[in-house]
Amino acid sequence: MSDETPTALDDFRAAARTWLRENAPRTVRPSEGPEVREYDCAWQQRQFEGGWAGIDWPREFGGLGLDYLRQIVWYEEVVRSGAPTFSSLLVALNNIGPTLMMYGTEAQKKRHLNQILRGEQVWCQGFSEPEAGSDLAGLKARAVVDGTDLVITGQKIWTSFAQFADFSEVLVRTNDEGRHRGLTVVIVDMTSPGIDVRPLRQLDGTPEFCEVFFDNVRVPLENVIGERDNGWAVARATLSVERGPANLDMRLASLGYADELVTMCDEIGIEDDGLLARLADVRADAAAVRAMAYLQAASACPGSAPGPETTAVRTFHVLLEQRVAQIALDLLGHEALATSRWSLHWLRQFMSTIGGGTTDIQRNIIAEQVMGIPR
Amino acid sequence: MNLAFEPEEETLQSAAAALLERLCPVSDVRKSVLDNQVDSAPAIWRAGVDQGWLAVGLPEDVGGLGLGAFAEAILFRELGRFVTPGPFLSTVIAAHLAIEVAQPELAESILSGAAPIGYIVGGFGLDVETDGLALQFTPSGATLVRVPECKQIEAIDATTKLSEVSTGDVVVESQSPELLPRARLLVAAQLTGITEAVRDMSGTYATQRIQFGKPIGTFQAVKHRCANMAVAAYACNAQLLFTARLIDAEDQAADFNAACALNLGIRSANQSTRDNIQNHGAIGFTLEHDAHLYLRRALVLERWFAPDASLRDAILSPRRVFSGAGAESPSR
Repeated sequence: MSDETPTALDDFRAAARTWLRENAPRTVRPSEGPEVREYDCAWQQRQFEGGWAGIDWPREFGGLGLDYLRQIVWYEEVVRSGAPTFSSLLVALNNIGPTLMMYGTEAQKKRHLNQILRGEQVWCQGFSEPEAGSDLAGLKARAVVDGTDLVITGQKIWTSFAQFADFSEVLVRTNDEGRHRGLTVVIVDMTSPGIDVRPLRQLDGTPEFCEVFFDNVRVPLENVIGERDNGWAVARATLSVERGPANLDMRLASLGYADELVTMCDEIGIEDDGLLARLADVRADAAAVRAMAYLQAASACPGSAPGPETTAVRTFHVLLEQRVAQIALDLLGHEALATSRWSLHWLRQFMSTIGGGTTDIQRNIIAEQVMGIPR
Repeated sequence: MNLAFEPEEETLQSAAAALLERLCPVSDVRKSVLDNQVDSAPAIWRAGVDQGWLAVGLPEDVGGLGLGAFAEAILFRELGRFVTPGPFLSTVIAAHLAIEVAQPELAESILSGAAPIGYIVGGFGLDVETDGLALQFTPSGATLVRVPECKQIEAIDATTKLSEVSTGDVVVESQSPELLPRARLLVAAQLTGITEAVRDMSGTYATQRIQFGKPIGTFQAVKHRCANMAVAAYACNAQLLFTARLIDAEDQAADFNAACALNLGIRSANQSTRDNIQNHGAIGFTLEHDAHLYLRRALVLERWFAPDASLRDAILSPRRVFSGAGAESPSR
């Protein structure tokens, strides 16, 4: 960084802003149906062709090989431009990509990473089960070795984007020798025979996540990510990326929402000190989310899983998201009784403190792994 | 926007912490409170001045170290962590004020530390001396005023000498808009240090204190209070360092971010110092324990500025911090 010109980052930002102004989608993102996938893939493709995909991904995988600071700047400009910050490609881009870069074989990286960046592959993550949510290691999906294949039987649940996905990163039990030992992460082609995807209706009405049933699904052993029976480390890496530096564009969106709420308060002429104080707190916290991204950039070690302290970012943010939604609801007054953008947004935010690791679990992780407090 | 520390910034932090640990550890502060022995110009003042603490962010041509707001924030975080007595903040801001009004000789004399500069807010003097100078913020800027007389009164935070004051002549006045954000940053820095200190105190206690045959940190209520402190400290630190870089870059977003940093610091220190007492049970409720020092100091810092709506306004008045082109331009 030190041999760069002082304006290099500003120039990058200016170029990003210009490109986004000219190329961000002009239509609203659909909320359900195959149009969702089409929209998301088209937008990712456009970013790739414009030279903006995978900013901090190594060049060998089709990325730009730039630093995480530039990735932050890009995400800031995405939020500023009003371009979508949510996509069915999020799992592939934010979770799977880094996982493969850390643990994938050369063949797996070649087969998937570039295509993910181009918006040609949608992924889902098959971790949780009806009996294994917070207690993920208690999962029951089994995979048995048969020749050069693994044969998978079991059920996953809360699998976002399974109805659009080409591939899934699935966590299964291959061995009963231990609780965390004996788990394996494997890439499953979602067109394989024996897979049944059933969308579930979320609280806000959108069918984003699914049950996925695996009935003797055959997967080549070469699809295992990392070591067989040692998949817990891979799964943890995936989760730590998701809870740390990933999804920054969604997090920065809170600053954009805070702007909207400030405008709404201005227009309504709110004078309620209590509400204004809450709004100020929310805006200050949204600013801190951005600052935390920069702090993470300063301590990031490329190529390795982010440290557990980055879970603090996600914990902080998901609580903020809910407070943003609550203020919006409060501003609506009786209009909150009708479905509208903000009232549905409010319903949607109940997932923030549950999905991807509940805040209760996250606080345990922070206390135990960051502060060294005993289990 | 690089929040990583330069080597001299690392050194500044570790040297300050080492000096504080040696000359003014928290246990000494606690004992001095118990013995009613705190005065507003303790030994640590001289040692800190000699180590250049007042000079950290001031320009080199007046005897400063020229290290900027980032280094000042790092220093003041340590002063918060150690609940250090003494008018370091008001003196440093006064030195900056002298620069803003183009009085380098005044800045130099302030940096010598010979005459610590106290602070006046809400009708009270903090660490003021009769015939000394005190910093006071006004609606349009900041002033240095002469303190003709002051009468010490008993304070909730005994590490800060609290007085009833009458204020005399305005000696210097500045309308510079730079002083308030810097002061907010350095108050936020101390609040961040406080949050970190009580986080660590609770974390240690949760690990060592055994009840029902287990460390109390294994009980989720305690565990989660500790985790909340860690989250708050992480957020405060990030916002603090981010803001400091903006101030050093003279970025137009500095004001807004300094207000956010102070907001976070106040809320984090308030909640964390209270939770820290709760985590310690009855022992946290004694003067023999350090926990109360942080609670009291957090109160002072929370009240550092006048109780007007200006902090809230600084946060809410930019219409667009983030959305649309040309962000960060105030609407009012």
